[in-house]
Amino acid sequence: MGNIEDFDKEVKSLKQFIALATVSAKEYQKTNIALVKHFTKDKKSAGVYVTLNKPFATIKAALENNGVDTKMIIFIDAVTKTAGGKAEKSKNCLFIGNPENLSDISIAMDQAVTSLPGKDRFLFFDSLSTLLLYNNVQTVARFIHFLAGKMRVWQVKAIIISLERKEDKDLIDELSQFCDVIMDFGGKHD
Amino acid sequence: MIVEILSYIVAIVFGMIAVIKIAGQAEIVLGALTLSFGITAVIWVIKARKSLSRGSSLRSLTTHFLFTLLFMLAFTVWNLISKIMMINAGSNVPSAPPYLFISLVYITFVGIAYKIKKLGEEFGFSSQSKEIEKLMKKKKKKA
Repeated sequence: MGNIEDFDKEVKSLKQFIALATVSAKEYQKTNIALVKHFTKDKKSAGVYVTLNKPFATIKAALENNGVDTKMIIFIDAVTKTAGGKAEKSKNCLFIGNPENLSDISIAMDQAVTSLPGKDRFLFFDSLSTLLLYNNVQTVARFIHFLAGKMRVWQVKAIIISLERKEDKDLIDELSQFCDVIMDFGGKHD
Repeated sequence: MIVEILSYIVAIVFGMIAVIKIAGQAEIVLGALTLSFGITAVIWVIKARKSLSRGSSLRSLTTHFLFTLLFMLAFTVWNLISKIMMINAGSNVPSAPPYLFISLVYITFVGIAYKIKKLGEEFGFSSQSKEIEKLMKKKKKKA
């Protein structure tokens, strides 16, 4: 079981990385906030937050309540339903409208990450478990494999969050081969 | 990459000249070759459309592009048939359909241009990026 300090030690020598962070449902929110805060406040990096789990408004409020400067982040929200399930843009967020719409999610991520200034950028993908609720295991595995390749090209510090669940274990084992760091942020299996 | 593409173009042009010399009917040969390119493009677009997520912006753009290709293909097929009929039977072929097809091509082109404009608005993050850049500079100054 690790914490942010352990995570920082693990990735300190890496200029860019793909980290798979597993976390219990109980610790999920706390860990997410701590990780994003670590990048924006401690590392002063700009980044992209892809949410498939909670709506943009909820995430933004939770981050701001914990002292995270959300202006440093471009949000991509695939949870909030939009008219006709089409992509819609607000000031700080792009609403994809449907978590099954992997094509638009990947285009949005590509555009958002490459538009970020500076070389020190992060990408936060929340979460693998939610992706599995809407897509089958094979599709998710292929999507993450594709995404891992893209993340190498983008040269970002990428974190993929996944709930620590028995049913996701096989997929996490399979995906661990594409990742540089596997970090267990604690909690028992739910 | 550019050298490779140029060599392909040169090979295609020489191939076309050779076929025209052998067959003797430049218009029909060129028409048939254009048609083969069009069919290849349609097959590729259908394949791409199948692999894209349902309801995605890119899939919608691909559908529009497919219609444009099909109208372009219809225009080429009509032209080719009319050339063959004129040569073989000397018969007159209606001249209106090609104008209709080419008009439809341009109408669908406008649709594609509009879709691209919307894509740029939806997926473009340049304004957010500029704001982040300003914020980072401010933070650096403070530090």
